[in-house]
Amino acid sequence: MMILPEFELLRPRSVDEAIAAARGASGRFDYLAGGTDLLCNYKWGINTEPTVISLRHIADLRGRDGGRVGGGVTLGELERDADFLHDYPVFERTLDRLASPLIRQTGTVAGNLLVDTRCIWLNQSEFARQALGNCLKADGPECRVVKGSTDYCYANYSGDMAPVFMVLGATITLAGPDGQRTMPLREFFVGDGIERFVKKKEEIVVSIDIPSDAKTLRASYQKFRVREAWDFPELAVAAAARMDGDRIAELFLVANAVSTIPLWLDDVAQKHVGATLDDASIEEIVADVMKASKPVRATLLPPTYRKQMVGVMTRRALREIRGDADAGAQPGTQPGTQPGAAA
Amino acid sequence: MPKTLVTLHVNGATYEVAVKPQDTLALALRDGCGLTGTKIGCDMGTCGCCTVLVEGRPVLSCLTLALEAEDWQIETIEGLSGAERLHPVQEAFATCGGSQCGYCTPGFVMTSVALLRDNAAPSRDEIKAAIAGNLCRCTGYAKIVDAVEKAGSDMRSADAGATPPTTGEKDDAGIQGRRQTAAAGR
Repeated sequence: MMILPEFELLRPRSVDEAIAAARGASGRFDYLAGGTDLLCNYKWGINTEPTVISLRHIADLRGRDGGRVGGGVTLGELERDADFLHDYPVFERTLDRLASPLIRQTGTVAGNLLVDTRCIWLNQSEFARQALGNCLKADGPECRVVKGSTDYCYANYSGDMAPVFMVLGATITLAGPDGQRTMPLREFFVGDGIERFVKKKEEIVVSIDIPSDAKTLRASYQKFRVREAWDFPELAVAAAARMDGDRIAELFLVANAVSTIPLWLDDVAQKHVGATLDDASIEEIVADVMKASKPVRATLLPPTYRKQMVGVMTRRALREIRGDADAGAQPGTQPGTQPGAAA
Repeated sequence: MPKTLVTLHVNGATYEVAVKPQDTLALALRDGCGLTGTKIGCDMGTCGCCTVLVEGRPVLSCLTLALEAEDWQIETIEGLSGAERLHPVQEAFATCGGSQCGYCTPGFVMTSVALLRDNAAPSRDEIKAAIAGNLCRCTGYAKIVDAVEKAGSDMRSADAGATPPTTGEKDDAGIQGRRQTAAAGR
């Protein structure tokens, strides 16, 4: 059995109460939403804090209204929300491939956005980490993935919701001691595997807002993972496009789980606006996305293979957007997880 | 950290359990309520052994804090049926060989019960999708899917007032038929 470390559990009933509790904890706290990521890390003894502030009892964080999704909405609730899936069908497959049905029952939208970065050196028991030599993200002097890196952690971003929200042009609203602020989600993620985003520690994700014109985007999320349920992405690609006849009027691309943050590939996308979405154009986009993706050995599969699979997933996403019947191949099934098995 | 008394509503009964803030619901159910049918496997949310129903939905009790569970309606494997008989899902698991070492079985049964309450006649793909968060290292899953399918069939028959198929008759023939079809397909 895995033992959780001792902590004080606070259960505020409002956002203001939660922020006040956070200020009282002097930075030595974590927010708890669904708990499916945080409690696992705590059981592994990764960066534990003496105070845990549960957000589960705050009604203001729940509920959905149009494209506005509360940070505390569970992934399961979203998965059962037929109106939401009708408006944004890309989430049907995204949610189907996110974690497991059991995790989705309690895991929240904000929790998935803020899911901690992962690394084969980090996500181990405390005993194993000590034996291997602690890493920069947890008690060690340097990154074990990129030897010699003492100021940059290369742990992998592993959420699935963020890239899809990003290509749909969503904004994120945070509440903190200085009030609320809203920003495009694509500007939210910054920095290395420790910094991760611009959110201050006391701030709470109140909601994600998808603009109404996103309903007319064609979008796809293609995820590659080892275990077909539960697993975090080894890599993924999110794409959305607005077509003008057979030409691309707008294109949005995110390469996911190949860096410390979801990579917003605006330069690649802008370069191909105006092109037709034929096989030759798709291959050009595939090459550009692969070139922009620079995975390191932070996950199970080799970086060279993951880079190759970025191309495969980009191709599938664009073909799905084009309307190819066999584009997504799956659902739920993956090409072989061994190098050379993908097509 | 001092213990706190928490009121848990489990299987229609009320338990007052003293827990530490970091105690999980799985621990409170087993050690506090004495309901050891809920198993702790990986304790990290990957195996589904600890699945219980919260407000009718399957939830991982190893990743739920006991203090958070106050006022929730919780169902465990012990609450599915009386002491004298099995729930149709348990019956089907026994009949179809959906259980070998048995450690994962309570989790599978609870997940399956939740599925069948939502969807009385799930397809095999729907069953596979529903149990995707539960791991079994013995059966190879085929017999578990058979069991859930049979349980659904039995429960529909019972609801319709018909006599449920007896062990080894109609449904076993159906399973055998599917196996033959699969074999022919190869």
